[in-house]
Amino acid sequence: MTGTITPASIQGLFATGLIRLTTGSILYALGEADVEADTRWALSMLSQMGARVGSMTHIIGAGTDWLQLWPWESAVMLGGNTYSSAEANIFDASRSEMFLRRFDLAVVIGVNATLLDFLSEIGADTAALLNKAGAVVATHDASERLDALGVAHWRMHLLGPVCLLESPSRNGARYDQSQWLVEEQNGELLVASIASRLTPLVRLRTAVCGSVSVKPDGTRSVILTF
Amino acid sequence: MGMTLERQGSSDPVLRDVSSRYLDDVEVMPRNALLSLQWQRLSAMLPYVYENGALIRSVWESAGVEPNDFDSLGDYFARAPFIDKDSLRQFRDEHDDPFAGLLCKPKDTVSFIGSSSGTTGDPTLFSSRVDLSASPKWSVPGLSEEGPGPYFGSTPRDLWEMGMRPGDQIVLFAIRFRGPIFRLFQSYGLKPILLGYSPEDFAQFLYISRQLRPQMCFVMSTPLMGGLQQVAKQTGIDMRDVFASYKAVIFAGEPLTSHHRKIFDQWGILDRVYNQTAFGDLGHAHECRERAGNHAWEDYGIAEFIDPDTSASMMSETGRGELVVTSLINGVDPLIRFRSGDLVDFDRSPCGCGRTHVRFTTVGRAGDILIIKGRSILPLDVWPLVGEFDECAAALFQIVRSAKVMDELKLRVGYDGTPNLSELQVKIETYVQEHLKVPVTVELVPQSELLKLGPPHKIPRTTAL
Repeated sequence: MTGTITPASIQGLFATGLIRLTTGSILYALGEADVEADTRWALSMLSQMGARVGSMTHIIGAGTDWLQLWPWESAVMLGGNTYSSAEANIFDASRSEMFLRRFDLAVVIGVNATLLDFLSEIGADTAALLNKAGAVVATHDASERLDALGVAHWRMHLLGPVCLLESPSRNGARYDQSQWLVEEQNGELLVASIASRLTPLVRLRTAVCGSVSVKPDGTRSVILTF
Repeated sequence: MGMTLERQGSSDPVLRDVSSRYLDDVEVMPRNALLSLQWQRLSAMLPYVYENGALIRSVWESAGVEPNDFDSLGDYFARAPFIDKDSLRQFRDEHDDPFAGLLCKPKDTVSFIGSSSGTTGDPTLFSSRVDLSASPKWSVPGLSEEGPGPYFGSTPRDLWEMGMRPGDQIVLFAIRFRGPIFRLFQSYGLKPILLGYSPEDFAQFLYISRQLRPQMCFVMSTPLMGGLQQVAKQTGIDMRDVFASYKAVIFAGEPLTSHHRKIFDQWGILDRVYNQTAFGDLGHAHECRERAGNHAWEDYGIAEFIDPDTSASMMSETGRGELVVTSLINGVDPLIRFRSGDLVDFDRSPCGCGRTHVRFTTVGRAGDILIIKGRSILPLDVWPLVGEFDECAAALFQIVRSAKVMDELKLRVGYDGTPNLSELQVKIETYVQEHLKVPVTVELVPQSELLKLGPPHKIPRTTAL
């Protein structure tokens, strides 16, 4: 074990995992304090989406992305809500369909093209099923089709460790500015941690194209370009 | 009606003597005392479920029985009605109740709704509530209010037996629909490394294992094993080095076959692989170091074995039967005399590890038994034969069936690479036919097509014609 990282000895470590970038994934350690901060932000966003005590949220995502998704799951529970989850793959699309059909969901997070393909394949009324939920949060690969179906939705994009969220009004994606700084350099988005996080990041290149605008109140919003 | 459930397991494993083989004294409780504990818990559970669980009340009223009708475990085994997945689905559809009448708590007090794999149909839901009041830290949710939790709660005992201790690192190939099991492991001082089932994660697993030197892999499966084999082949990385630090690799989803053993032997981990199987949707059951079957933790649930045809409870010390379970500690959505559909070989004799809890080995699904020319065939019989072929080394196959009794064995077999398909088909048909002594037809499909059917740690081994 000499010469290697020993996570067991890292104070305040919550879990180790990966963060995914267009160019590949990198090893990443998430601290307990990081989880608290990320959960707090997720809780505020869930509130804006309409999650209330006693309501239910369904979260679709890969086990790979649990470091980023856990604060959302944690926030749902801390908010006094119920959460269910499903994988983001084709097999588990039926699980998500079951939760959409059988439960009155306040929020469904992670609607993707794979789920839309499945719903189309089984002849489901996709628009009716999704519009039954109070708020739909989709990944970019599903966004255009949801627009065509008339399903108003938030857009979520995991920019490395940063969760970008854009409301249905499409005024640019927001993120937790107490933790992160997202910048643009030559059309590429860069990520830096500005709070004391277990894994500090300094101008991490994401290989994702986009731009950043700053509003008069200091709020930064990100426009992704695919 | 309220119900107070005892907290299960050792309350603080850090204080446990790390040299002890057992995490919890209940693991070696004398058999008679264990049965008394079961009866005590069952006597509290039955009236609670009857009053709060719509499905059990409905089934029991139809059968004309009430909780107080039973005066012993034997009496319960003789007269309590069964439930199974079909009765759950029927209740769910008739009453438009997604919880199938199992939920004994108000719906809006549930924190997490997990679900089973759904390999054999619509998934069964299992719910839990977190104890926010006792866990003020923001990062704590995910632990059940009844202590370590009814579904995964007993698993730390097994990890302890495999040598895991506070501070050890555990790689979790996470399946999120099961719920945040890593939260339980964290509460026992283990450090999780969270990975998923993407090919990129497989490559990272090789890197992480050599960089961080974790102690456990939770869990290895057939698709994961195949993925790791491919990465190892592409990169030339020595898998013995990858697994050098591991105390244990838990294999789950399917029975361990000769094919798996061959690969694990090549990787140098055969003596560190432990099988995991389902304890009838009550939780998991793992092998101990004796490798003599998977222990069902009988203080968490009753493990009963019945003749799948007559439904008679089997009281013998050993035998093959269908696993039937009754939850003893789950106050949220307990299963009462639930026929799991799992066909198992059970053994109630004392285990070499000293634990007094029954052991069983899953051999297939009771509904998977196929009769061809008077011969009983299970997927387990086909497994090692298909895995003998290099192009099908992952042993990904399905038995295609239209009825319990058929004239021939129809197989859909996954292949890798670009083999001569007509030659391979004939070779497999001939080989399987020689060994099983029944007519065989094989349909070859790309392995990737079968993997799409998985959840993703396993695939359905039988499929309708």
